[in-house]
Amino acid sequence: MTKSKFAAIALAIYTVLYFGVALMTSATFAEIAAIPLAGLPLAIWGGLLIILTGVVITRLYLKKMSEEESE
Amino acid sequence: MENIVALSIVILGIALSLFISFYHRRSTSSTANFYVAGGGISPRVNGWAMLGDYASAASFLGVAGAVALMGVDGWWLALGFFAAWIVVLLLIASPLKNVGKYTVADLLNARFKGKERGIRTIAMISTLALCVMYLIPQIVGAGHLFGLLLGWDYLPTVVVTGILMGVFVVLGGMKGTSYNQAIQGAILFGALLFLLVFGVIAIFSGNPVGVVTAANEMVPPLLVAANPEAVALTASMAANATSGETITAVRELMPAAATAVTPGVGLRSLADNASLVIALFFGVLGLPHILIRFYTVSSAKEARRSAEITIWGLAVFYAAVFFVGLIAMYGLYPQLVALLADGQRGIATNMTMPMLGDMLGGQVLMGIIAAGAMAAMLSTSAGLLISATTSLSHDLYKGILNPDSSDEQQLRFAKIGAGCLALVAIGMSIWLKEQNVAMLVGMCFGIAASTFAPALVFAVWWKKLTSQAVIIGMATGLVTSLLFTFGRFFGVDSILGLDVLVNPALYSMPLAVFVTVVVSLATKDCGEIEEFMAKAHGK
Repeated sequence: MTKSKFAAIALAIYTVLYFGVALMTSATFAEIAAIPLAGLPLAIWGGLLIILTGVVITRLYLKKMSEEESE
Repeated sequence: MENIVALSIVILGIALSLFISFYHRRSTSSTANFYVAGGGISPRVNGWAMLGDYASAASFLGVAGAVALMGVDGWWLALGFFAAWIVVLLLIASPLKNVGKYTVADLLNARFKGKERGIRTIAMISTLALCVMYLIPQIVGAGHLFGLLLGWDYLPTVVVTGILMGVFVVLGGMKGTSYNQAIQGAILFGALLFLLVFGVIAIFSGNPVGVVTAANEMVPPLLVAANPEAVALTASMAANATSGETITAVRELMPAAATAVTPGVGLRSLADNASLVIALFFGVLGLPHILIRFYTVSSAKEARRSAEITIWGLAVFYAAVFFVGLIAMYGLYPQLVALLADGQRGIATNMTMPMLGDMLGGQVLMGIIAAGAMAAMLSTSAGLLISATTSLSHDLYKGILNPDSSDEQQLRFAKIGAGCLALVAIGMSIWLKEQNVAMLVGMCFGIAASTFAPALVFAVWWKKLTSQAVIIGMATGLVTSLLFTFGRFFGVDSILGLDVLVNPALYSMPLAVFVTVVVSLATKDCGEIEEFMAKAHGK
């Protein structure tokens, strides 16, 4: 897989994840955002997941770029 | 003077920043040195500088303050700032580095050779609008900070801030700015972690779970301030009771109220939230002062190492800022309620971090936090004014008004222009002093997402983009975003039948994208496609 294709897929996944969590924190979906999960509301876990996924995607993308450069 | 130690540290910090700028300014001998430090910044310094540039005062002061006032609903903004970094990295960081142009106008002109005049004009107008809008939160934040330290009225603090910005612009230069931003990034990052660790130790006896337990009990100050009985109770307990006792008493008075971790205290409507989310997610794509940092290292490999340092820093920063906001809510509970009840929401939001520093580490820690935030605001402002004045002298004066002008004439025009821009920004800062700085930055993201972002992304990824589409698309995005931004400032409910939202991006960005696509399909000047695309994508 080329780095451009990887970037496109990663961006699509991340966009869906981010918009899903971010829009959940609207007044319209407040009840869903407040669903308790392991002591904290679902939206907080979603927020932490956005941060974690961002780090993972960045690491994978930078690794992909390094691999492509060394080929 | 009450805060003499903290003030001394702030003055020392500003003096150090000025010295760093001045010292490195002497080695500035070419435009490459001025704009991107000749690509000679180390990856580690660049990584910290990106962190300082990106997670600067707005995130540190605004987001933590918002969490302290309304609980978890103040944190969602931070997620947008973080997520935008991933978008930049995946979408345009690599093509931008490959093309090797310093400004958005230069990059667009690299593809549309021969159409410089129209593109430069709209890029210049957009740059000036963005510059002024981005200066406002810096001045508002700095004004409140000086007010807190000196006890001055807001107006003189804003004037002092404006003068300091002017001095930074005169000294300017990317190398000094890079080192300043790296130091600021390290100070803000260190201060945040210190507040987190020391706050847990000092307030919660070293038990981090205590933060979550307390958060589940606290009624956010924003709700308390709206309940006169609760305000009176908080005020009556302020002198003799601890924060914890006050929190318990308020909870007993308002048993059904939301907690600090309950979404819903300050949630926006779906349309408001969607608009803000779009602005944050795509806005950084159009903010050149962030993108330009990829050029300040010598190779793609070093750019990646910088990006790696930055992403780890941002992840820790934006997670920690939530918990520090909760600690601040607990520790400063009576003060925050009192400020809100007194109508001083701007100070309550933007000054929570220095106040927490004062509470935990006395004036020394308060001074370090204030110095880091102040230096971040000043260097960001200097960078913005440098980019705006460059655009004024290069694109407007030499490019359009007086093509045969000398360097001296251009410089004079740029300095007068910088003064005028700073005056406009200062005037607007006086008007908008009660606004949360993070929300004001969010509005800049909305304007950037509607102007430069579509043009840049299409330019490097879409072969059918035409020069006419760039100009008309950017103009449409700019006019629409400014219309709705000022509609918001003036308290207008709706424009052309559309509700005025917390951010303009929901209307302006899709419209700009739509116009860009339609005009591209209707016109033919696609520029030097093959040559440009081959360079952008390293083929």
